[in-house]
Parts: sequence; structure tokens; C-alpha cells
Amino acid sequence: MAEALAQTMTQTGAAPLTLDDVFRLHSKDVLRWAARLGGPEVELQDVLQEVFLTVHQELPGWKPRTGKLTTWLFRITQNTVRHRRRRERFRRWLKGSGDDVAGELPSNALSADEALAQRQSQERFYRVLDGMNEKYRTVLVLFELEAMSGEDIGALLGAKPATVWVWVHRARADFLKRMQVLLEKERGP
Amino acid sequence: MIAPVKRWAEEATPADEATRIAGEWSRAMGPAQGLSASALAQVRAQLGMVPVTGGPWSWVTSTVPTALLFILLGAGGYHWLARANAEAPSPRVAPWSVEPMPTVLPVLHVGPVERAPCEMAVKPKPKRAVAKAVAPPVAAVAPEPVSESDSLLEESRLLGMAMRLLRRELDAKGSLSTLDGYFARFPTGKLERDARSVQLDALLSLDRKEEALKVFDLLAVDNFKGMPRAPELRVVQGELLLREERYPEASVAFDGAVRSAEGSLDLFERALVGRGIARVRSGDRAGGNADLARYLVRFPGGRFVHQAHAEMK
Repeated sequence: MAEALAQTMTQTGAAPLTLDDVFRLHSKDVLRWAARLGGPEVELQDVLQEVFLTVHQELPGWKPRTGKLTTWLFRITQNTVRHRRRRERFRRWLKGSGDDVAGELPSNALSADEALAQRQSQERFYRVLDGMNEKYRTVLVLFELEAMSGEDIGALLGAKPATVWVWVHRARADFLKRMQVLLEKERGP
Repeated sequence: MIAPVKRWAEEATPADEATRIAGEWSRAMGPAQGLSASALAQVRAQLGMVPVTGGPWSWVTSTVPTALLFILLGAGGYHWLARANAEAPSPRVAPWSVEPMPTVLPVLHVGPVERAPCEMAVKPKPKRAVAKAVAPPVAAVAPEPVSESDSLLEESRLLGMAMRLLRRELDAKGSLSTLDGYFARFPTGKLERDARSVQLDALLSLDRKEEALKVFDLLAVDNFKGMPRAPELRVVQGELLLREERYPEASVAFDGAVRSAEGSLDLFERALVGRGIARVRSGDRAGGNADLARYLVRFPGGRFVHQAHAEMK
């Protein structure tokens, strides 16, 4: 609905889209994508601000003919989250003591606390995702966590649905393989 | 098109153990976290939500006057132009610029669409001579009044540049010098807190801990008010102080972090163990041991278990 409205606004030439319009129509989408792509470590408020700062700078150059607004926004969000994750990893490595590095290894402790167990599952999920190729990681998040259809994923990534399914299959296989490696590590020798 | 595979979370009878665990993990993810209305409003305010400059035809409006200018110059009409420009500032002045722009020199706007035509237009040599000839003394031209939204736009432009230098081009030094310009120009800017956050990132990435600590001290005066990532910054401040062996100060920093980092398990873990260590080392052995014991109960397989045991001995 929001996308249709945005397209109509731009195509009718009534008025060019402003930052305010884009924020109003899509800030929730951006937040959801950022939360899913970045996982628990990402500061959503910062990501949202950075994404819309980029939108503000690049909006004059964006034309509806070049693609869907959501595709463009998703790409900005994806890049922002990727840079943040990379920086976070770099910072941890930079500051890392022996204990910090050990912290990167899976912990084999399980808590009785349900919330903590859920948090651990989430952290494990993202630990597996973090080792994956960016494209497969994104596709897997959109399919498994966002429960998006192949068509919607294709529209967001600018790919054909058939291509998306190939990526989904490969991403799932890769995830399961990495997950088993992680579980074996957790179980120990 | 129906999905050719079932999502892991929807698998009622998983084919194998790995799929079952993947389903379990997927179900544990829950709905995507969002932001409160106040946080959203804060982002809106920080962005300024100012009108976007440029537009699909902006290159025409930016290029045509410049092209006309050089055509006229080529025809020998620059004396006329010189007079005209001496009387009125260029209409192509960036609306958010706080500096007077009395010359006919084309101004590079922020928008990416405008950049190429402007750069092409800047190249010809005669421009310098003309600019020199027509530029009146800066003091003679009254600066245009700068509206609040214009200055916010300029703030966001500078901050965006600093962020891009740091995060995309990994140029922390360049980012810091951009931020120096920002702070000189907007000492009490609306985005000052965000700029401080970027400054800290840049200083830490260059391992300039002393300077980072000075910035932290500045922010701690009003308890990190309005800072993005405040809990994380408190933890980092505590860790830096701990390394500098400034234990009482570290203890205070971690104390603030423990109170504010409950939402993030990772930060809470670092804050709790940090406060325990800082307390023990600053002489409050009972308080420190209580923190470390609490840490061991809450994070039995945590990252700092060995360190906690060692401090408790």
C-alpha cells in the first residue's frame, strides 16, 4: 500500500518525494529489515538514522524509473547493517583480549531461564548466519524469519523468483551445515 | 507461486535432527523488535525532516546558469556579468550555507546528480580571473539569514560526511577532521550528540584512548543524556577506565551501565563483570565479590568466568 502510494506520488509528478514522505511510509519496513538482518547486536535507532541520512543525501538522484522505492531502501538498509556488523567485528577484534576472543566461541552452558534460552537460540542463529555469504544470509532471513514469498523477496532484491528459490535452497543447505559444525563445537571433543 | 519448500518453523514433522533444531531456533526468533514512538520521534528530530534539495530536474537548474555564464564570457560579456554579480549574490548559493557567497563561482551542491555537471563547468581557466575581478570584499556582502532547518541540513551533511568517511572509507582521521569542523561550526548543534558518538568510534578505531576518555568525561557530565547507544558507551567507558587502572571511576561508569543495559544481554554481562572487577580493585571487596557471584550465577558459561573466579580469590 505504502509502496503503491509512493509510486503514485512520484509517477503523477504531483510533488517529488520528500524525506518526510519516505520516513512516514517506510520507517517501519526499514526497522524490521534492520532488526532481522542485524540481529540482537544492532542498535536499531542508529541504523534507522544512518539509513535515512543516506536517503536524504541520495533522494534527489533517485528516480521511480530506476526501480522500486522499497528495493532501493532495502539496499541502503542492507549496506548499513553490513557495515555496522563489520565494524562491530573489527572493533571486537581490535579491543579483544583473550577473554573477548573466547567469548566468540560458543558457550556450552544452558540456563534454566526460558528467556535466556530463547536469547541463546537467537544468538546461535545469528552466529551461524554471520559466517554465511551476504546474499544467502539475506535471502534466508527474508524467507525463514520474515516469512516473505519468493516474489516479494525477488522484488526487494531485484531478482527473479526462480533465482530466489535457488538461493533459498543453497542458503538453507549452507545454514544447516554451519549449524551442525557449531553444535559439534558446543558439544566439545 | 507457492514456496517450493516449507519454512523450518512450519515443519510439523522435520525430516532430520538438523531441520528440527533449525525450526526450534527460528521459532525462538519471535517478531522483529521495533522502536518506541519516542525513539522514532527522536530520529525524526535528529534528521530534521527538512525539505530535500534538488530533484529530478535539479541538474538542469544547476547546469544551465553555469553554461550560460561561460557562453556569455566567451562572447566577451563578462564586464556586464561582473557588474551584475557585484550587485547581487549568486542565486545558486546553497540555501543552507552560512557563509556569504558573493562570487560567480559555481557552488558544488550536495546532491549526487548535480556534482558531475558542476565539476565539468568548473574546469575552464577564465573562471578564476573573472571570480577575482568580480568578487567584492566578503565584509561588503551581508550574509543571508540562516534558518534553523538550513543549519540543520548543513549539520546533517557534515555528520553524514564524517560517518561515511569512517564507516565506508575506513578513514578515521578524515572523519575526525570533518567532525572538528562540525564542532567548530556547531558547538551546540542539534546533532552534537550523534557527532560525539561518531567521534568516539573514530578515536577508538585509531586506538586514541586518552582522547576518547576525555570525550567520555564530557558526556558523563550530564549522564550521556540524549546519546545514541548510551548503554554501550557507558560499558566502553568503563572498560577503558579499567584498563587505565582508574578503578573508582570505572566502577561508577559500570554502575550506570548495569542500570541501563538490562535490555542487552551482551552489554549487561560486560557491565556486571566490569563493575565487580572495578569494585574489588578499588577496595570494595564485598561489593565486588557480590557482583562477581551474581555474574557467575547469571552467566555460568559466560565469557568472563575465569576472570571472575580469579578476581574473587
